[in-house]
Amino acid sequence: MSKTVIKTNGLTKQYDGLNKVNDVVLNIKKGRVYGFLGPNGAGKTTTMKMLLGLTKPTNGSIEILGMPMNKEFKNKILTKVGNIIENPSYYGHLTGQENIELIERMLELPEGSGLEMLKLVSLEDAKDKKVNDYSLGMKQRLAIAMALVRNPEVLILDEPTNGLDPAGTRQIRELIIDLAHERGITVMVSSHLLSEIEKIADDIGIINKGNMVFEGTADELDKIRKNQTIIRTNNNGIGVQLLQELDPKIVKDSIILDNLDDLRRAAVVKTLVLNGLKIYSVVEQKKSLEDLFLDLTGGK
Amino acid sequence: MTIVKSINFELFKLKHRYFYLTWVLLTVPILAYIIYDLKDSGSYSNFVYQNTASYYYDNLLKALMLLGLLMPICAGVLISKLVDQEHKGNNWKLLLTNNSSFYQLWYSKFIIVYFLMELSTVLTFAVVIVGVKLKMGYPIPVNDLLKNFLAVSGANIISLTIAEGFSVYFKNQLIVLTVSLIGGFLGIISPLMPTEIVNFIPWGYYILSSLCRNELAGVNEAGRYIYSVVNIEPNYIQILSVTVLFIIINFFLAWYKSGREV
Repeated sequence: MSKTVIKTNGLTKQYDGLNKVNDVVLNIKKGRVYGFLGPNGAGKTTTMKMLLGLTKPTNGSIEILGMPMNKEFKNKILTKVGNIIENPSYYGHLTGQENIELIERMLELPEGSGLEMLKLVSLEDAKDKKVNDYSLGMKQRLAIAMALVRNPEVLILDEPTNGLDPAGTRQIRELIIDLAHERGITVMVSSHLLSEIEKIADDIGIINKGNMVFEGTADELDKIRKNQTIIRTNNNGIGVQLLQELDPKIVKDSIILDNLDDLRRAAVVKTLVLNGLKIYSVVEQKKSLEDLFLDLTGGK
Repeated sequence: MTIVKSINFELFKLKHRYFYLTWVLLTVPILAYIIYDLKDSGSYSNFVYQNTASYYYDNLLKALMLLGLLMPICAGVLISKLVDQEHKGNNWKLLLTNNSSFYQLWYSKFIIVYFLMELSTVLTFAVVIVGVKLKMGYPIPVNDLLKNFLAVSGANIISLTIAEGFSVYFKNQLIVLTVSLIGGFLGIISPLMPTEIVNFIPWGYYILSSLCRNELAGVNEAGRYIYSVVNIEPNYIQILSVTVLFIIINFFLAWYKSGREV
């Protein structure tokens, strides 16, 4: 059983009397990628800011690397926790190398110790270029390199692939997996895209309207995440009559069936074919994040 | 991180930003004007001086007017250069999660700009003192000038506190620049206003530090106005009190902002 690196209990943050984050319990284990999923405004960034001591919780406790996040331990914790919150932070008028030097100075690390990180994020060739001239993907990678300079035990990354093109997204994704699985860094990464999180996360926490609605492994989520089978035929009306017991719905030009396993899907196809329907396509699709929230919150 | 390291760190961030050039561009006009004025030997003939010290006080009055104009602008422009880089991309988060405290950031930025403002003030005083000494050879009223220098240093604290407050509290740096320009304008026109009003103008404290005032004494045969230079004792207690008040305001602004979310 992996050691818990980040642990929160009853974490709550109020703004103007309203709970932006409500009674959040997190258990993030060492060396794993923890996907923190939720729609925009769900409370992901606020939770991460509380973890980093950038905002004080209204209630609840935070423990990181076995230390409580308070005035006494804050700096000690932060020397072991790299982060990117909201947008990548950097000094655009400085070069990539100077930005790395800046972190070395802040953390009082030996000069040049962080240059290896530029290599790790494939920015070695651009180290003398001003960051204002970097592409968005390069800026994101630089921010990750800056977060890595301290050789962190934990990385907290808030939507690190935001605004990146597919190639950039892939690079960041591979980097995160590599950091966790090769270097043993615990990575907490937030996103509003389920598709993004499921590609990298070992464990997933889902937050909606400030409340945690799920926390478990990716496999556990997969089990409760119902699929949909989308069938396109030459006569959907007859198809719906034939499959009545499965509670089918017609959406646009397709029949939608919820939560079929492979055997039942094969049986459905067989029934339709034996009744003379022409099947143009059968697609299995996992439920969207929106539908998943509805399932997890009972539609509230 | 100690405050010294924090200052070094701030200086490192200023690379490629032409920060010192800005300071030079704001200081050179003051020095150039004073030197020009000192060289213009005819200018003394229109003035009646109370004693030999008045020559120093009168030249310093002109310098204070320029400091009153340019120091608020210097404070606004320089502090804005230091703070704007943190507002862009919200680098406060980066700093506060990397071994820096808000107080260190606030005071290291303050110290850097204050040092440069003080350097401008020292150079201004030096040029006036050396200039008058070389030209007239009169003894230097060391005590008065020293007290006066400290009063102007207080005025610098007042200007910079206002500028830093606006710069840190408002992301839009046009606000601090506008306030500084207004401050500079009020600073230079404050000799034209009644002292009762100037007392309430923070940027007026450059002029309130003056050791003399010019009074119209009459017209000479050539039809030129004659002024008498009247020595005055600035209200150092008031200047000190207002400076202390602004030091407290400065601390309060740093404390209040440090407790707020970035």
